[in-house]
Order: sequence, then C-alpha cells, then structure tokens
Amino acid sequence: MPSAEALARQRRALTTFIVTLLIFLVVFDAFIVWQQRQSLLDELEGHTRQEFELLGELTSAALTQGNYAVVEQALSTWGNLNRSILEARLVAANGFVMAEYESEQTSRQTEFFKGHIAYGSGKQARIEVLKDMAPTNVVIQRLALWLFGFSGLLISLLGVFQHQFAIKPLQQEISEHLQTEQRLREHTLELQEVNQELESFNYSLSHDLRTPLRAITSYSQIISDEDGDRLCEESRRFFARIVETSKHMALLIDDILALSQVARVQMTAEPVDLSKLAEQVADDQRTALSQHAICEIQPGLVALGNKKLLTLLLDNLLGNAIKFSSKETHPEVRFGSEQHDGETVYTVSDNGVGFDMRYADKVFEPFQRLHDQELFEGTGIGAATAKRIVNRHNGRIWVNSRPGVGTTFYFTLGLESEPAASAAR
Amino acid sequence: MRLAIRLLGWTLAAISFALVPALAGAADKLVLGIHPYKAPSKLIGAFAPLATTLSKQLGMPVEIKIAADYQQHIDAIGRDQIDIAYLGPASYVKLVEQYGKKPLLARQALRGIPTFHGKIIVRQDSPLHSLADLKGKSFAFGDPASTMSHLVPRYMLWEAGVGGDDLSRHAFLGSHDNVALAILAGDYDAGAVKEAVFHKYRSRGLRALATSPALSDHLFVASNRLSPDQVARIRQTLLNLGSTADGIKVLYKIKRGITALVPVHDDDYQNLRVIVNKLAELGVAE
Repeated sequence: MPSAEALARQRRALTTFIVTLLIFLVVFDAFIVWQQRQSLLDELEGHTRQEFELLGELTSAALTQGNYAVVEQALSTWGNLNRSILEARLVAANGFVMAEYESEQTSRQTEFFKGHIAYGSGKQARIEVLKDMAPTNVVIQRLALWLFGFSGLLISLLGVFQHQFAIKPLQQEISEHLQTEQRLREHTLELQEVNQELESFNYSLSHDLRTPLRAITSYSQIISDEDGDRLCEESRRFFARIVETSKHMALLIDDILALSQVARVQMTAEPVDLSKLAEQVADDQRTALSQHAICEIQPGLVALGNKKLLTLLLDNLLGNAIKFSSKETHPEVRFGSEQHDGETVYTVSDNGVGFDMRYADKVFEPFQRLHDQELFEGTGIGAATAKRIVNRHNGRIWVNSRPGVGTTFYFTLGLESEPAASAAR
Repeated sequence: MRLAIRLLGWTLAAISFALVPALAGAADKLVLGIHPYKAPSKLIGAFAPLATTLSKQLGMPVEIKIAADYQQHIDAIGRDQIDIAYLGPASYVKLVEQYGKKPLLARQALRGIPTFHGKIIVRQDSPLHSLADLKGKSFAFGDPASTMSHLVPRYMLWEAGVGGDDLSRHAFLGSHDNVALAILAGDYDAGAVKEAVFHKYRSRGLRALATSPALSDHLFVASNRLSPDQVARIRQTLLNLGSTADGIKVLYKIKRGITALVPVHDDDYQNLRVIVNKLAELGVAE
C-alpha cells in the first residue's frame, strides 16, 4: 500500500530529476550560446581580415611610392564600404596617425580589431578598427532567448506531466487506500460489536441453561436413589441414562461457557511459566494417567499471555493428549518447545490413537468429534477453545497426526507487549 | 599725274594690307598661357575671371591656354607664341636663360607679401638640429621640378656641406603634402616643403630645421610681340586688381590669399638664379 512516505519519495525523486535536468540544460544552452558566439566572432575576424587586405590593396602601393596624402581619402572610402566599421585609424610605426575615419553610426556594443599594412621596404602601418557588435550580439541574444526559452518550456512541461501522471495518481491511490482503511476500521468496529453481542448472548444462554439442567439432574438422581428399588430394571436404566446424559449436557454447557469466556476475558500480557502450568494440569489429571504413563514436561518455558487462558489452553491440549493415549499400554504425553525459523513453537504430543489427517481442519471446529463417543468421551470443544485462546494470543495452532501412532499439536504465542484486542480473528 | 596718284594709292593700299595682318595680329585676341600645376579644368576656372577682366580692359577677347607641361609652357612664351604667361619662379629663371628677357608685368603677393619661403622639416622629437646633422640621414623631396621641395633645399643642403651622396637615401614623393606626411610617419628623417604646407602640418608634430631665403613668388610676363602700350595697359590692369573688391575676388579665384599683384623686376629672381646655376653646375637633375 502506498504511503505518504512513498509519495514524499516520489516527490523528491521528481524534484531531483527536474533540478538535474535544469542544471544540465542551463549548462548545455550556455555552452551552445558561447560556441555560437565564438563562431560568429571567428567569422567576423575572418571578414575583418579580408577587409584589411582590401585596405592594403587600396593603400600599400600608394604608400610605397611615397603618396601619403592619398591615404586619408582611401581610408574614408574603405570605411564607408562597411556599415559595421564605426571608427578606423591608420597609424604609422612611430605612432603618427596617418589617417582617421569616423562613421556617422554609433553603437554601445563595439569590438576592437587590429591589422597591419606593409609598404615600402619593410615598413608597416597599423590598422585600428572599431566595429559595431550590435548585429552579432543581437543574433546571439536571439539564440540564447530561444534556447533558454525552449529549455524552460521543456522543464515546465516535464514538471506538469510528471505531476499529472506520477504524483497525482499516487496521491489519489493513497487517499483511496486511506478511505478503504477507514471503512475497514468502521466495519471492524461493527463486527466487534456484533461479536460482543453474540458472545453475551452465548454466555447468558449457557448460563441460563445450567439452572434448569441442574434441576433435571438432581431430580433424576433423587428419584433414582430413593425410589430406585421400586422401579423396574428398565426404568432404573432409563433414569441412569437421564442422569448420564444430563451430566454430559452440563459438561457441554460448561465447555461452551468456557469457550465464550475465552472471548470475553480481558486480555493481559504477563510472563507465564508454561512449564509450571503444565505440571499443575498434569497433576490435576493424575487420575486419568495410568501408572505406566510417561508425562514429560520441558522445564523453563515462559511466555507472555493471560494466565487463566493459558491454563485453559494447556488443560485442553494436555487433557486431550492424555485422554487419547490412555488406551495405550505405555502412554506417552509430552509438552515442549521447538525453534522454527527463529520462532518458538510449543508442542503437545501423545502416542495415542491419532486420526486421519484428512479431517485435520475439522479438529478445530466446535462440536466436531472424530472419534466414537463410546471410545473416548468428550464434548468436542477442547480444540476449538484452544484455537481461540491461541488466536487471542496472536499465535497459530495446527496439528499433525498418524492413526495408530500419535498426535502432535503445535502452537505459537505471538504476544510481544500488546495483547490482541480483536476477538474477530 | 593721274598715274602717280594711282600708283601712290595702290602703294598705300598695299602697305595697309600688309599692315593689317600685323595690326590684326596685334589686335584680334590675346592668349593667356598657364603652366599645368593643376588639372586643366580647374585652372581654366581659376583664371577665367582674370581673362574676362583683361579682355574688358583691353577691348579684345583673352583666351586661356593650358600648356602640356612646364617646358612647353616656357617654350610657348619664350617663342612669343602666347601673349601673357603665368609662371613659377623657377620657370621664369629658365625662361630668361633659354630665351632671354621678357617684359615683366606683375608678381603675386600672398597676404601682401610677394615672396615666400621653404622649410626644411623634421619631426618634433627629432635629434637633428642643423643642416649639417643631415649627413647620413634620409631625406624626402617633393617633385623634382619643384622650387621649394627640391631645388632650393638641395642648394641649402649643399651649402651646409651635405651633398646628394651624403644622404643615406632620398626619394621624390611627388607633392609637398606627401613630404610632410612621410616625415610625420617617421619614414624619412627630414624633408623639404613650402612654408604654407609646413604650417598646415606643424601641429601634428613638425619642426623646421632651416628656412630658405625669400624667393619671389609667381609672376605674369608678356611676350615680346606686344606693343609697349599694350604691355603698359595690361600691367596697369593687373596692378589695379588689388585695390577693388571685385579685383581681389578675381585674384582669390586664382589662389586664395593673393591680396594684390605688385610690381616685379628681374633682380627679384636673382637669388634663385644663383641657386639654379649652382645646381646645374653640381649636376643636380630636375
């Protein structure tokens, strides 16, 4: 998802690009203009050289013959030939100004040119000319104007295009995402509310079911106990069944209550000694364990979480492990941890009856029992509860099993410091 | 008796007829000759007013004739082929030498002075200070035939002990202006120009090393063919020009600054004569 940072980065990249391009264009344009100016100046020098040669032709022969007086007129004629000649002087080797010419034109942009005329035997006169640079400068200025103008336009267009096609869409994307996020938040809130209502309903329902159930159980028990001998064999058996079934139902309600409790409990994150908890749970279930049973608990396992919930978690998982391995001659139940990619994965394994992995996802659904009630009693809520608890701890839970070999439950606890507030996971 | 009278009449007629050409020759027009010191068209324009004035005074047309060159001009007046001639001083001296004396009419006076000088010039900052210093230096003359830019300075140099071979090099630049400019440009150490040209270029950095003696200026001479009376009348007309405004205008047309034409004598040219003779003796060609 693009962020404000991405936008800033894009902006910076764009600015850098444009500035770099601008610098390059400025340097390039300046270079071109300078080159052109040099070229024009060279041309001008070439022309001036030719003009000097012409003046030489006009004056050299005369000067050689000693006809100095004609030079004044010759210079004037020569000066008038070219509009760009503003002033001209023919100076003898000793500095004497032999002839001077001044045009009627004036200009503020001038350039000085020098040349020589040879005459007589080894004598030299200096030509000094002031030329009007305005026409040349106008050409250069015009070139510069076009170049820089065009460059400026190019940069502006680039900037506009980039903004239109890169920045704006990005901005739009970001705002759309923000909107989506907002909507998500609202939905989440709604869902949370709905969930809370459901859980409350669940809880009250279960709670309110308990009382009438207790009545059924008690009354049935009383009748069975007190008037049992007056009943026939069949009726006694029926009452026994009523009691048995009511007790089962009570267990179910308890488990459902426990399950909804998981959702309702305020999550806390405190260091919890899992090993100790596991020991306690194992102790509580001591009766279920046969003498030949091995229960190995890895010591020193500590995690962040809610003590009550984690107790329930281990209670469920270890309880299941013990239960389903109880039929083995040498039941083995283990609780430990492994490192997978730097993550701590806790394992609860047994060498019990196992199940077909085809039904692996059904394991965590409430009321789904993969084994016959006759063989192993239970409500089928244990694993679902475990999953909920693990989810609330930002963890994951999965299972691996081989029928006849055993089962291993894996779970992670993902709490760092913030407990998961959402029960919607 | 009748035969004698008839004979006398015919004789008189014959004499008259014989005289007519002579009289006509002396009376139908006058030719004023000018030497070609400028373009012919300019010269004609310059002297036309004078010709008009003369013809008015003399009651006969005055024609202007420009000679092909200086020598031809001298020949023309020398051989009396023209009636009046305007001559430069050097040409006059030559004329007298080649053809003998002629009746003198008047000479021009620039700003009231009938003589002029030449200058031997150097650059303002030149280390030369006397004519003798010019030994081994370069010299610029004007025209070979020019009085003040060749002949007189040449004589002056010789007088100072500087002969033609004593100069490192010399050249004829054709005009006074060229000489002045050449000196200013530093292409020659010294040169000779007439006074007027020296003053014209002086402010640009010239200094006079020496001044020539005063030479008599240009003059008008008459041919030997004219009668003394005619000569006198022409002379008077010329001498009167300076006293009227119109007259001065005529003179100014010939050359700006001529304030009058004044009397002239052969002796006025004696100093030039001496110089020219000396130069001829030295073998200095013109």
